[in-house]
Amino acid sequence: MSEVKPKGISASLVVIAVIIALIIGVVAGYFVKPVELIKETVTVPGIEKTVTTTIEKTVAGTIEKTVTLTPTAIAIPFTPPPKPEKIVVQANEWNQMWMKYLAESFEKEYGIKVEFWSYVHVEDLHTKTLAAYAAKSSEFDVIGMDEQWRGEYFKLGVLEPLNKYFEMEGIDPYKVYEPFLVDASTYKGQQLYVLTRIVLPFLFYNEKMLKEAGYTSPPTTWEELVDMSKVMMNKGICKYGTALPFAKAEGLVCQFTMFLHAFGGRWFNEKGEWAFNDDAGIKALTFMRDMIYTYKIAPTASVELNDRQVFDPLGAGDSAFSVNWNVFSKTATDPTVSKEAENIKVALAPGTKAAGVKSMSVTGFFGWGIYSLSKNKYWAWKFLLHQIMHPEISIKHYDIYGVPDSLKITHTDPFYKDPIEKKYYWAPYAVEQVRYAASRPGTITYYGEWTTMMQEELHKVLLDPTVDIKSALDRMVELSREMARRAGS
Amino acid sequence: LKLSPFSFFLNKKTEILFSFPALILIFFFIFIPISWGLYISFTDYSLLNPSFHFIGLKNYMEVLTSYNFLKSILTTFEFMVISMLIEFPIGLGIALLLNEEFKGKKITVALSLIPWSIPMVVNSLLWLWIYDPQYGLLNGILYWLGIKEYNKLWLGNPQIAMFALIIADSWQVIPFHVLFFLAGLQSIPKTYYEASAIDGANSLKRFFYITLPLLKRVFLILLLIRTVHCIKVFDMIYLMTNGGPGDRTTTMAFLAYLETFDHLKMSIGNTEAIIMSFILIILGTIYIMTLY
Repeated sequence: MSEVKPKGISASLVVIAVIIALIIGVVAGYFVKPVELIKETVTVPGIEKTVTTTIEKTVAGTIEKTVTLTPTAIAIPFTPPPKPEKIVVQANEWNQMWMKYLAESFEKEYGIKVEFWSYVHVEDLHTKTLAAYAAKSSEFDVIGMDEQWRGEYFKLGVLEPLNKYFEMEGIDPYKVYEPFLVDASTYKGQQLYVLTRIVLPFLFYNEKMLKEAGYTSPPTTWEELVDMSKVMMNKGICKYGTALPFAKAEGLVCQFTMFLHAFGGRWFNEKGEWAFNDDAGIKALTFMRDMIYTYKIAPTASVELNDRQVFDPLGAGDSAFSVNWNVFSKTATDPTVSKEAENIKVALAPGTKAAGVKSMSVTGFFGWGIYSLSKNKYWAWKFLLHQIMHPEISIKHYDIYGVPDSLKITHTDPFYKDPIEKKYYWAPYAVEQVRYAASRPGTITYYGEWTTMMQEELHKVLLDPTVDIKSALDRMVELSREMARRAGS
Repeated sequence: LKLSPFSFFLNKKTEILFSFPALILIFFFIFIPISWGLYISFTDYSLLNPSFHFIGLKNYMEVLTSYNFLKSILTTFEFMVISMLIEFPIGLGIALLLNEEFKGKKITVALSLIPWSIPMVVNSLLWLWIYDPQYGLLNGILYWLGIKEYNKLWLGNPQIAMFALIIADSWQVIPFHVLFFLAGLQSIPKTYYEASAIDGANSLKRFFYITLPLLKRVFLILLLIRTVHCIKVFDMIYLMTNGGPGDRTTTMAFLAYLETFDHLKMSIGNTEAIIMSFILIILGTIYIMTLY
């Protein structure tokens, strides 16, 4: 009887595998650059600590950067409370994409686990927060925060003001964050939350179409955009100039905010009363509707389209322009999603010739605050502070969402700025656009009710070209004032 | 033999003991929340106004005279009535066809249930794509057929939006009707039809004098279930129209949600929900008294 040998990997196969691995290693080593280690030191006023961080700059190498942060005020001596086992962050899936990097680093540094309670829509954060707050639940430590909720949250006391924490650390927020972001997160002198990125619409345009029509630069006013659209449509270069996000949604209020301010209007008069039914308001809403029914540069389908859907015709080469959120920058220039990826460029959002406004956009800031019923407020603060201490995590906003983060250092220090601008050419536009941006009236305490009413009323005007705009705006102002009266403001 | 209440409980102690865990759950998770909601409806409780005063029927007066709420009742009934007018005949028609013997019957029945097995959220997203005014399937088909006005607004047009929602809802719910009607049809003894055929009744007469009367209970159950579903319809509207265009598809449940979680008026939202429940109870009683 012959002996049966057990089956296995023979020695010759192992040798062959090792040789192949060596060949691959040599070839890869030839093409891939060796790891670069660059040491740099930058001083940022605002914080008293010195941190050393490793920043991934290229595929091949890493850079070690020492960020020395000096105090602008004297830190208050403070004994931190014992570390909790975990802190709970309430987020929605989209915003969590960046937050998880911050959480990983925080866990490593402090040994505190960061647990996410995640929802699908950003609006869910509002509902869940208020439901938890009404039930006096202390289940969250850090909560996601959209700018238009600040009046409500302030009145209810949902957020722990951050002023004392900044003072305790000896940090001047104006020196660390972009100043307009500090203002946007402050209400009645209290900084309620921190903003982590800059989100607002600017102009996307198809450069190839413009060149075909004989234009060398994008429009700077809405009037110009209409004229250029008509020319391009007549020449058969595009199906329509632009699609507009006029569906009944929060985006419609954002659009009206942008047009109202572009035509020189304001939400409130000097007395602080609702006053958007003036001449500028009428012009703004008339212009919005005329783009669909009179100038016919936008499809009638606009009344059904959301912010995401208006991007589709631009990407498909059906329209030449789209004033859309900068979060679509990556999608717009991604050839797997956009047919016109190579031709799409960005510029500042148009202003108006009528009101002499250079450019106008609307803010859509999102940030994070400390839940006032949290039992771990100090460590929740430390978690928020972690972004300031780690600019290399903060700049991941570009890679994830294609938008600038909120830290001043990443916009000013060439160490961060230069590679970002090289990789994402649209990056500087968002920072510049903030100088020309208006906000929704997020400081009112009855925003939820107000925005529902505005969405309905604005939508009715845009659906029907025969509705009298002056009467419609008068009604909106009347209803807004009634709400203000009931809210006691 | 007449038992005293005490002896009744003594005799039924095993049953009571076994139902006790379920009763506790019902007490804590159904009775208490409903009672709390009812209580809130008599107060001025709002998240923005931390006062909690008993104000009697003031909320009910406010809600029942509010244009928005009255309009939402009409919108809800419109959704309910048109949905049922579409679903019942089509559901019964398909069930009658599937009740006949033919090759591949089992697979046909199984396939016809697919829409019903899809979650409502997925169904809503599917129909959102079908109705997309720019790149949707429906406009694509119309364009392909050469119909000039292909660029229709399905969910953005106040005249069409409600009907578009009903179609999307019916597509999912009709298989549920088919299943019920099919079960009802299969429970009717064949001998009734054989006897009536011998008596000379034609198929129409057999349908009206045998099939329909014997399906009365199935109708009643379906009516009750669908009334409850239609009155509390929310998810589809939230996902597909957000109550629009304008306020065209704002139903009672959607308005109660807006009042509670968007406008933070807990007392008004609860009042609307309580009124909604009363409407359901009244309709349910009418159905049972009429059909049972």
